[in-house]
Amino acid sequence: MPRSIDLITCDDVLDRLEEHVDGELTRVEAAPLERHVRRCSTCAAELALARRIRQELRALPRPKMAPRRQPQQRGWAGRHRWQLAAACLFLVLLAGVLRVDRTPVEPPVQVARHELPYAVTDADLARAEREARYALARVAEITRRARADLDHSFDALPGQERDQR
Amino acid sequence: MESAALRHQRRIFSFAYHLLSDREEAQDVTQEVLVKLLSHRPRVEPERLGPWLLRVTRNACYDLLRKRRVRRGGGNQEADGEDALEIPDAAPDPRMRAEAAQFRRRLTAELGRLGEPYRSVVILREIEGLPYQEIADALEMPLNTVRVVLHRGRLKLRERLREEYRDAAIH
Repeated sequence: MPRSIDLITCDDVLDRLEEHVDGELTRVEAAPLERHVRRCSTCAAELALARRIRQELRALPRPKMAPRRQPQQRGWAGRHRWQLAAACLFLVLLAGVLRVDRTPVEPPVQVARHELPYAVTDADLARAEREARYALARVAEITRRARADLDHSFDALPGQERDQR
Repeated sequence: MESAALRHQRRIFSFAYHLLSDREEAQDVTQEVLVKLLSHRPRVEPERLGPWLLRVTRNACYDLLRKRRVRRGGGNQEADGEDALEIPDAAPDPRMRAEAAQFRRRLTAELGRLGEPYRSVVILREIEGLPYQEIADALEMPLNTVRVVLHRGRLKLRERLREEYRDAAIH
């Protein structure tokens, strides 16, 4: 049952509680709400909880990216399995790209899981694929930027020098 | 471009971390989003880059959460102990410190249990401190909807913490 203090009810207070916590109410709007809260323990508790939640969420520390978990008790191949898997995948992709311009078509490079010197899980392959895609995307971006820089440099040349090129 | 990636990387990771409550998965998502940035960058207007990155991050996290639900047969994800944030606490009284730590654990767990879009909006507004307009752009929602969703998200959090902590909040 909503109680009325200073012409505003508990429901009115709860409706505007978030705005009050955010400091979005004008002094005129906030004054009756504050008067109500001083006399109503239920609304005071609700306001305190809202403030605490807001304050705690804003105070959460920034999570930091951690180094990847290191494999334990593995040999060289195990320790470098991401790089190996990414390199294998990169070779497969590269072979696929090179194959496009060649006739006759060469058989694609295939690496069977059992041929690798360590156990490969689906998660390993997914991560390796992601690493390879990231590396390829970086290469593509660097190439694009280099090409743009080159174009820009040639555009900046006087006409005669550019013609000589 | 590189500077844009570095500038936004922290926010991408933080958003993904709070959505997923898992550091490794958040790092995977961050890398995936950066790959998309590198390959889609020419098509993204510079002033739309921030919201675009948050939208891509959220979608990647949704995909992971869906897969996780299928793997675990439903249920929501709480922050696990290993990945829980280590929060320094200056409270001098050990009892108050313990209570404060418990409150934060409950709060982050309840945040993890919030459904969408409440969780995304609460994270972006309360933790990341984004303005309403940027949240609206990132989540492709009208501005008023962002306000309503935020209000309801906060209310849900309060309702879930009310019984246990309302009295403790007054000190």
